Amino acid sequence: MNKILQTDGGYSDGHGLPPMSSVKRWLVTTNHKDIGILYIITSLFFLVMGGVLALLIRLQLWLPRAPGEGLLSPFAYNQSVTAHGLIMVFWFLSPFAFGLANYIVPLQIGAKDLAFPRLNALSYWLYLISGILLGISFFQGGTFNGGWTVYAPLNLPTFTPQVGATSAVLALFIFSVAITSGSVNFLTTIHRMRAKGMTLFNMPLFTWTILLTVWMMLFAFAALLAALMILSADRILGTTYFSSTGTQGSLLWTHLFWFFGHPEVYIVFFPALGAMAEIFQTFTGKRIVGRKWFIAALVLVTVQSFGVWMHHMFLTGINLEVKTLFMITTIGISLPFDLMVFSLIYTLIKGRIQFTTPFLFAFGGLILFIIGGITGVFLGAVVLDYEFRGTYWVVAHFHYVMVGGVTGLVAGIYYWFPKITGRMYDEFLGKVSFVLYFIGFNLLYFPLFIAWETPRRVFTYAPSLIPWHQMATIGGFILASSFAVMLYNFYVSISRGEESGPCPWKYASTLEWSLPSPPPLENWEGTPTYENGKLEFLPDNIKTDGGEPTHER
Amino acid sequence: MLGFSFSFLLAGSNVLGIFPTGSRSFIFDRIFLVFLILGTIVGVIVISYMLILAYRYRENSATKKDDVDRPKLGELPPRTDDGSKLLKSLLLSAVVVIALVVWTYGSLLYVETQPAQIDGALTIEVEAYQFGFLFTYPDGYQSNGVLRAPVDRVTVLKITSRDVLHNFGSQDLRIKADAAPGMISETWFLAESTGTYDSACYELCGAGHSYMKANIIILENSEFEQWNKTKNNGS
Amino acid sequence: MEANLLMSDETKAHHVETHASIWPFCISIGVLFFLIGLSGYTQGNSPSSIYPISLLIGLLVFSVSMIGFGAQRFEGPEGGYGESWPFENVENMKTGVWIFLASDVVLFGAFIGTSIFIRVAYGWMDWTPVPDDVLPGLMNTYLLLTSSFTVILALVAAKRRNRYGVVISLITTLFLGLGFLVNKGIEWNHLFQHGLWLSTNVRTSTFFLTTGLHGAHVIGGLIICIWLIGRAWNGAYLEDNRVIEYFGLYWHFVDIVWLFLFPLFYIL
Repeated sequence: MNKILQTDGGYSDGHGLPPMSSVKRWLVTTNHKDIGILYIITSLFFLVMGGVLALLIRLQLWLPRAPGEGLLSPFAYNQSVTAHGLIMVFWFLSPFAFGLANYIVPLQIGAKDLAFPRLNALSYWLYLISGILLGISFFQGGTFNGGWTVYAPLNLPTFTPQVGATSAVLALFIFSVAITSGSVNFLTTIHRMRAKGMTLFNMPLFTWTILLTVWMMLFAFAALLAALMILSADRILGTTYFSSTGTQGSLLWTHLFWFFGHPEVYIVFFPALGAMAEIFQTFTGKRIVGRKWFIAALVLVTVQSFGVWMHHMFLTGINLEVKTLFMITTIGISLPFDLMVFSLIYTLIKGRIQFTTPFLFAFGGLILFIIGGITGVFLGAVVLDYEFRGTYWVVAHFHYVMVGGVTGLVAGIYYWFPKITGRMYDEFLGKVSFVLYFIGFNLLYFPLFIAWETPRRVFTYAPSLIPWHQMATIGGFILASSFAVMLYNFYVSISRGEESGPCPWKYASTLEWSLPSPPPLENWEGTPTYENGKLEFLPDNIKTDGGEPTHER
Repeated sequence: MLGFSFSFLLAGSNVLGIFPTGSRSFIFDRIFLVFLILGTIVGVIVISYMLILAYRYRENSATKKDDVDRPKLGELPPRTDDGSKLLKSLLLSAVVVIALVVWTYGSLLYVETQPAQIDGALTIEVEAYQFGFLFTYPDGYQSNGVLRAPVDRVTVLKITSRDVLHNFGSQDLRIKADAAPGMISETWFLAESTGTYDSACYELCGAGHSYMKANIIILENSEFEQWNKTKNNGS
Repeated sequence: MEANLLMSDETKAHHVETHASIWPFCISIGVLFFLIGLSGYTQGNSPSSIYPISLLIGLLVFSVSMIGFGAQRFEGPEGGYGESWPFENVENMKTGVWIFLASDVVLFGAFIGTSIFIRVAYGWMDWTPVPDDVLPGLMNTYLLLTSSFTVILALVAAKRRNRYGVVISLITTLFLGLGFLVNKGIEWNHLFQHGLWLSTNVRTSTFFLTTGLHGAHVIGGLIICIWLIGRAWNGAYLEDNRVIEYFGLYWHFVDIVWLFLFPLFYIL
């Protein structure tokens, strides 16, 4: 019997929750840990879905193809690149991070649950049905096929008449609703429900990055929501926002989309950064260097992220003055990341570094992010950006950054696996998965820098580039095999892994490691507090005697 | 107003030829090369430094004495930490990045302002459509899928779209500009040798995107003039 | 709305946090069917009867589940365990409402920004407001302003523990809101009669969609208002009037948005 399925046995009071082995439990649960698990499993499913699409794309690119050649028709290819982008960015990356955040953040700050548990469940179910709707859209005459940026006016029924294209837009719409309600929930929780002594500054870095992520989500997704409402109205009701060429409908969409789109990059990357910071501290046995500056840099990026969107539009009808302004803000936002990278690197000094699987992934993720960052500076120089626009340089760059972020989150899932399941993963298989991951990743994306002159989203390219594209395709399959090893590792370890105990890591310092693994339904008996400078658990009755009003009016 | 001051700045500051000017290919190749060399150096240094640190401070390394205060479960992060090393590193990286980008800014001003002002430049209108390009010459002559232009002379392109968002680009000549319906974007190029170059659409525009291509044929000046005179008779 | 605010005190005395609710799942199923139905419509045309049926099933499941969600007794964690900067004196629900409103500001901001962007591209002075008559808009402005006032009256009545005062003030709010919608309906109908529809041109598109989004916010507010009236009739909110206060926050926000929309779409 799985350890994870037995946890209810020890708790007489399930508060109306059926045991974990029952399906009903998972339909009715509002507990943050259950929902965290649901998020993680669902997002991994979408990872597989987006990954299969990516492999189809890579197979199509094995050779430059004439029309009708290869696995995919031009229409199917466009659907694949579009759905791959949408699924990975929206339905995999953020929800994967949200799953970890759901499980870990309340434990790290000393809250029993999120502020609005039912709203949390609603966010999850809306996320799931949005993904199901996207799946259904493939069977409604084909899903949306105009790229993940959904540029106007290709996004209108005149050019993409498929019913499935409308479904994909609606799926994205309801996904944004789910994200917005989730952001409200997390913001209220993190701002209101911290244990005594857990001031904002004292919060663990993972919680910090989640806090800033949800702040960005709150505003960025509201802009996307507006864009998608207008787009849905254009598609369903026939309004003419994006089809009016006289009022620059095409430019309007790019503004709305990128105002959301650039913060989205940090929304995706921040949780990974937070997980990497925690893992660096735990496995080097060193507290992070310049913690205060690290946090300041995070806050700075969060604020600045709303002022850089036009650097996606250097070729899209903006004048020189505006280009100059956005070139400056773009450089401005890259500098705090330099600081964070240095901070992580200096944390290694005088450490006692344990090369466990989570640390390897975090360390590898940092290397990949550095490469992604350096190649990003190329794009910050507008003259170079002009020529890189729409090429594989951009593709390779953002995969280094975004999938570099995935690397950090994979590190996180290995790191917290013992906490969530109560059992250790297999260290050998973990290391195998890292080696496959790192080799596969670089074999997949590095050749794309060399073959950068390939235009994006086409499957015809200069024959001289064939070796590089074939290398990338092989790398794609190696990367996929790494995920297969990881999932197999988890599958086996959930039932047969060694018992981990409350804290399997020598230098872990955050609150969640002081609890049993997995933590009980309501996380702890008594009340955690940091009032005296370190973690203590006060018995329950002290809380009521202590005069803290539980119900003020 | 601002544009004026920019060009003024430009005229005054490039006396020594600090930043590249000339054809787009030359500017791009020069700047790209410098970025590539510096980027590689920085990347190699930083990543090697990381690897060296990771090896040196591995847990079972020879240095057994441990005088560092390690994190403990349930502690709060200490308030005292020294960020001076961090800020120095930041300053260093900021200087490198800002210097690089400021250096390229001169070329940007050149690309944006200078060649468009050249009198007598050939201006060709480009209309993108699903799935091809239509080129219109000043005298109204239209050509589908083939653009002819003279060598060593600036050619200005005014680009728009008939239907969805496209992007007209040529890697060989380093041309790229969005083609948006209802808008005109302007760019220019200067070919340094004759021949036939590829151009393609660089923005996903529908099922035929992969095959949306056009040829750019660069002719000797005399050849071009010859063709220019007779082009309306042929069709 | 989390119902934990509405519970009486004795249930809070001992530990009764609940962890189970089927309604989020049911609501989402309703939303799924609704959206599948909606996807079949292209610029007003529906391809087959499957889609309208799915739309109706979805709407039905969604409505029933929302009622179930609202009526359920649910105990969430109390919160405010110690550190709550910068919301020390703002309890959870109120914090949540404020944060939600912040996001709604960006939503309307994007809509208004879009309208202005389009108008600038169109030529600011060439653009004329869609309604030829300012009067219905002006009347609606007064109706909404008055309804904001009556919500405050409801809160005052609740503080004075005056059940009828609460009920009557909320009913007045409801009728003022309905008046707003009826007035808008007449105005829109008038415009439709003159051949102006969402798809007529970009001017009518921005007018109908932006004021329509605002109208949807009004409808949402009125549904909450009806729910409040029902509960107030049974004597709720005299002990604990926070829910009325939060509804008021939302209602004032909807009012303020109208104060931006009115000049933009009727006068300028």
